[in-house]
Amino acid sequence: MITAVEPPPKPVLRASEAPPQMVLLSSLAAGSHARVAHVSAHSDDLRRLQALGVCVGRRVQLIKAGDPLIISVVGARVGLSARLAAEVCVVAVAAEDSTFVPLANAS
Amino acid sequence: MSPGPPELSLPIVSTTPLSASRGAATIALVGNPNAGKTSLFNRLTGMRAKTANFPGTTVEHRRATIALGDVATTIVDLPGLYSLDPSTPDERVACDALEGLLPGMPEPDLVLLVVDSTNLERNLFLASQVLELGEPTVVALNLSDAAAKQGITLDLPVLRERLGCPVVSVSARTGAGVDELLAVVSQTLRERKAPQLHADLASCGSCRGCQFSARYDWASRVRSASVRGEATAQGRITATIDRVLTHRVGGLVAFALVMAATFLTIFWAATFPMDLIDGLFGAAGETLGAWLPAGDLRSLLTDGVIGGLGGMLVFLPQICLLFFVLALLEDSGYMARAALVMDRLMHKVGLPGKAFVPLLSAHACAIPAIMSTRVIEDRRDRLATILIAPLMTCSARIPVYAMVATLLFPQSSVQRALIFTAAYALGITAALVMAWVFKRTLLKGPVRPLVIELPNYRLPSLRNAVLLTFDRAAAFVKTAGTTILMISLILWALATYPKTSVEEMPAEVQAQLAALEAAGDESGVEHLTQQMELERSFAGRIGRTIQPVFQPLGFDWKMSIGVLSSFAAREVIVSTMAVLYGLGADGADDGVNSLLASLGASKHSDGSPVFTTATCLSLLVFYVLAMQCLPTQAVTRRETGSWRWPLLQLGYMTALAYVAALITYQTASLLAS
Repeated sequence: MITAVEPPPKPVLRASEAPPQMVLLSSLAAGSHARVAHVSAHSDDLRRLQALGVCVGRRVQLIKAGDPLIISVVGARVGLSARLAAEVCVVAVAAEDSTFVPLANAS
Repeated sequence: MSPGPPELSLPIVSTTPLSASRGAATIALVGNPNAGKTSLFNRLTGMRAKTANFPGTTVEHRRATIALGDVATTIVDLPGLYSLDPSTPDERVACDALEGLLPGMPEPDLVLLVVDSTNLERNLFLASQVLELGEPTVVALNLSDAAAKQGITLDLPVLRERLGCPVVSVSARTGAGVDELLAVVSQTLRERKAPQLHADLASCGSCRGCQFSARYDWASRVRSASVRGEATAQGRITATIDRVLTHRVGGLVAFALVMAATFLTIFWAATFPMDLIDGLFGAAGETLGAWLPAGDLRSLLTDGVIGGLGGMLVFLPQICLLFFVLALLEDSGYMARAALVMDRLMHKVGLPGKAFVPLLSAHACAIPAIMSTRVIEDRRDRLATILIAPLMTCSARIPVYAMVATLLFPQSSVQRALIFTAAYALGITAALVMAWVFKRTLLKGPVRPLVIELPNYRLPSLRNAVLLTFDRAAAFVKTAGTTILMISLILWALATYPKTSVEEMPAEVQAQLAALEAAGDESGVEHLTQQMELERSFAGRIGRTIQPVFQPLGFDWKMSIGVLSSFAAREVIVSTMAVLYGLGADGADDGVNSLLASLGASKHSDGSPVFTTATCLSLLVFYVLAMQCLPTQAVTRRETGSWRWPLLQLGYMTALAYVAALITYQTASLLAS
């Protein structure tokens, strides 16, 4: 039986359309750990974020909330304006989860 | 730790043309910012370094040639990089230079990659990209002393295998391992051996879609395989300090304290060398004056050359001290925090947080301020900061403020202080408003949101700070020196020619001169002669001609000449006024009091006083806002790479100064009448 196939959802995730399990980096509480799931920043900013380690699959810890906020990523502290942090979707993880788990769909 | 994937070496053939046949080689020094790249460069090259621009750009780098065995090896210190996907002009140039894409720069024969041992994982990201270029590469694991102190040990054999190139542990601070590094570099240069890419790394490059992710995963695996111990001790200290320095309120208070201390130190410590330079140039002028026969040559050398150079060099101690303290603050890791805490406030006028320290520095001198805008990534943000920096009250304005404040309130020091404060506030307000205007018109665009690494705090290196100060000071003297010398000579000629003999002077002046001579008042004769000569010179004639332009501001023709003569350097107006009001060129040095008495007493031909409150305020507002500094213009030209921006700077500031002074004069006159 053939039924009408819905077109697949657009692969591009807007920050505002983030699925419930994802939260914005800017909304994390201080001290909590998370893994980056999606970055929707503009290309120049995206490159700067990625070069400092804010890219899909990396663990981050929010050190200080606010604007600008401070995160710890790939062993370094990075200051980030809240506007940019709101373009980064993360999945909360437990603090003790320090082993490396690559995301299946990290592409 | 689990062993990595099965080994599979992929030799990469280097296409680099070998320049060793010429007995010369080029090494590019590459690394993350804060990896101690500059310290290592200084350690390898000492004082032999030169600062140069990359061909066709305004991006600077330092280079030095050292003898490596029998090969004259040029080491080029490229701007710091986080990745080979550049996001700033400096990074773009560094990438191009590294890949030999920059016209006029040969492709490097060897890449010396500087890696921070205390944060291997982050630094390995860049390493993964650099190794893939396939150029002969040596990795220097810098900050080995800091790593040892933190209990971090690195497994060098594993790193050599995983990176596929020679790896040497060094400390630029102590010098440990530098000899070994040079030996390994020399050998790699001879062998021209390209890195043997480990299969694990080779797979990263082939997967374009998830490049960043794959590289970080690789870096993480290499770190797990080679690092024992964790860099937590240093991080804890940094976290503790940051709790105060990046605090919402505490951070701002701390920043205000740091900056206040910086400026107090600079203004206090610069007094001694400034007095010394002033004295030296004064003595040189006098000696030369006594030695040369009176005439045009003497006047040219003493007033034109020595006066012009002295006027510029007297600010050099302040400029050097400012560079020095800023270099120390940068090296300590504090500057990144300053940019962080100021970011939100600066956004309100459309500038990034990184613009704040340059703008604050402009309160000592706009020149180091404009040079230190290089930290601002976005070109529009940087141009806006450069354009508004000269509106801040620099130290050259202080003599003018002092003159006007004392004319207005000879009795009350409180009111004088208020006038000073108002002048500073006017400069700051005008700058912020203009930044807002520029960012909405000519340099339209959103402020780039802040992304900044906050490096661990560390003790700054005095040596690096001294070298940087020396470099920047040399650049200032070279750029500004030639320009200001030329302009000083032109202004000197305008103020000297055509000559006026006593016979050409009006009859009543001749009578006055004769009376003074009869009374034996030699200095009186000299002052009156100087006054008459200046009045009748080109400068004097131009001043009279353009006086109608300044009439609405309440300036008489003498003040118009003063404005003209201070076109190149604003503080000149004080000595010009001294000459024009009959005190002689030394009048300003005899203490401001005699000048002020004379200014205060001067009357228009109808008998009304020249320096009314309205005129004084108008003059003050004009000097707060007008450009009037050629060295700054020369530096703006150098930093922006075009005359367009210094001309715009001159144009908008002059217009602003004129309109504001006009409004001030007309309003104050209305209120007074």
